[in-house]
Amino acid sequence: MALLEALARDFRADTDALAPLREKALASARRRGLPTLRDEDWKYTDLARLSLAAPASGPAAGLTPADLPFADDCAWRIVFVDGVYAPALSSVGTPPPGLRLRALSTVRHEEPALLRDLFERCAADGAPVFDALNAALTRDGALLEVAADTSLPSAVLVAFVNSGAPVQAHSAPQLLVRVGERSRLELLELHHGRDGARNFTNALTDIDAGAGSRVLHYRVNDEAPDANHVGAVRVRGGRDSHVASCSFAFGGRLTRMDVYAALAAEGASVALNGLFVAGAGQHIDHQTFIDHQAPHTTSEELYKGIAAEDGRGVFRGKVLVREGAQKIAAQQASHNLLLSQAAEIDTKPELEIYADDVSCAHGATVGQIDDAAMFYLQSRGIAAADAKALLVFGFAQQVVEQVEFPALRAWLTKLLAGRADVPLPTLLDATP
Amino acid sequence: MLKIENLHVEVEGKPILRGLNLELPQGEVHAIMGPNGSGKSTLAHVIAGKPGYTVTQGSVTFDGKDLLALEPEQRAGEGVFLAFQYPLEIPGVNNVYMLKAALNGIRKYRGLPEMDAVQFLSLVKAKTQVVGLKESLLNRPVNQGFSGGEKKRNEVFQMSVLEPRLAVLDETDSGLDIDALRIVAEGVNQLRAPERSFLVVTHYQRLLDYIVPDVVHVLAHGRIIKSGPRELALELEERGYDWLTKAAVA
Repeated sequence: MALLEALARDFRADTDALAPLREKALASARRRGLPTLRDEDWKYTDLARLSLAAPASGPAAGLTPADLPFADDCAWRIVFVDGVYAPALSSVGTPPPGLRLRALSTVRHEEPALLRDLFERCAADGAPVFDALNAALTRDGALLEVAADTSLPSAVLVAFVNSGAPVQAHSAPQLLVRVGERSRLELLELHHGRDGARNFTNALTDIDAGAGSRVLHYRVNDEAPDANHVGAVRVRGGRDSHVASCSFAFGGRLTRMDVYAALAAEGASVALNGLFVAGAGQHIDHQTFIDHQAPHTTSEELYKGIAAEDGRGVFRGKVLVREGAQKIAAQQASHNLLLSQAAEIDTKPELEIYADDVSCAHGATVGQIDDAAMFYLQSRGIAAADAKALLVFGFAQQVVEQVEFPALRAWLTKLLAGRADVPLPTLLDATP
Repeated sequence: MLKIENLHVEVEGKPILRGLNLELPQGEVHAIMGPNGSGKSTLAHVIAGKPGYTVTQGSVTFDGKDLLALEPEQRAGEGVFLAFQYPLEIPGVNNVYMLKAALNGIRKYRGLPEMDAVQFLSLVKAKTQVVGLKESLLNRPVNQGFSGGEKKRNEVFQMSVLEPRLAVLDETDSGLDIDALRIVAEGVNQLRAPERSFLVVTHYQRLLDYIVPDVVHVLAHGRIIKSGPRELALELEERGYDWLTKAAVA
């Protein structure tokens, strides 16, 4: 397990209150090793193709907020560069009442009790190996706390920037989100790679949505082409809470996302949406798991995948309805578009139901550009290349238009249009 | 304007059109009638350039230009428009947005500058009134969630914005109740002009009560077997197709 040991070199034997849990997590990961193709969850994603660039020392690039997407659109932001808190790029000084945004490197020393539960879960034997590794090797990250009955006037940005400076090959950032009862949070989690970055990121996001709260979480993977990215999102929805967690994955050579949502109390609802584009040499794997633990809970899921050139995509969506979780509603759709003969997307919906009064539906498709639609657009005078671009754009649009944050919607559209392998229309700026 | 000579067309090796001749002068409205399977839709599709048809013989020229050598979008650039029997739904692509791409595609083909957003929107507003399309449908994805009548009206609306010189209407009456039929036909009639020709493909003569043709052609077994004034349509309504098709085979 060369990769695991290469990662483990980043382990730091500090003596803070969480050190024993970090050691336990590392031991647990070592004992089990990294998953292989023989593990059902990892059937399509071969970690053997991963290697870790050797870390070297060097100056971090002189980044300014202007280099950061969305810095202007989010009044409050906390930024990490190569895994380390960057106060100069952050804006946490005078948060509005009810919001606390802190670096975990600080919280770890000031209030380790706030983190204990998470580290215990990650160090437990049944925890996913990358969760254990994240807890063992993490250096920094963000704790975002929203007090009860708070509505924030602007979205909060948590950005993890990989600078391309040869300082740190591996980072294990954490993002802890604690939303109080009846509060509302719009959160943008950005993983952004600067040109030339060759980082390996193993990120963990943990969202606790209090009763009656509403959380919109947008996670954007905009890593550099040579980066590798493993990420987990763990959501717990309290009574009558609503959490929307959207994964937008475009960057990196290998991306693997695990999204788990537990609907733990009556009335909780979750929407997991996603859009990924896998171009030449890219491999993007999403595994989602919606756990209906309580009755009267609702889930909706829409994932759209696009693969171009020899790009490879994977979607596996599991929905579990536990015994006694009656009157639940679950809807899942995975739609995928292949733009070339060499592209491949595997999709696998899984429903596991142990209650009898439920309403569940799922659908999965993998298709190509529709010839009939092409002819329709061409017959109207639209050139073949533009017609194809319009159809790809339309395909992605169904996920993009669900984003409530206008700056992100615009950015996604631009990003899609800027991909040479997914020829999107130059006419995009003319959207009426 | 449109001249079709000895046109033979196959689909997957099966002959559909077998020596079709047709001449449609500028400014005239010609109806193509015929029984099911006679090749009516094939004719409409071949004129517009739909893939999947093999022309084995003959020619289709438009103002002397070889239409068959052009891509569908180039034919649109030349002024050909096909109103689909089953208009496609295009999820995620806004109706107006698609139409703007279409109009500017055609303008580019003709060497004209692109139309800007302001000009375009005022044009669109004016045209919705001409065909009676609900403005709320403009910003919806193309044809998605539209009723049958709304889809057909949207076809006529697109036609009114793109202003073709040859409009081919493929079974525009299919699936419409009498009210919807009347509205769609009125939209088409508003677009009748001395410089514009129409080829109206239909199975039933009732559409021709509203869009009155100059000439009616009967298509059977892949050929035009009879042409005549609009009264021919009424005769077909009364007597059916058998008396003609049997005579043609014999």
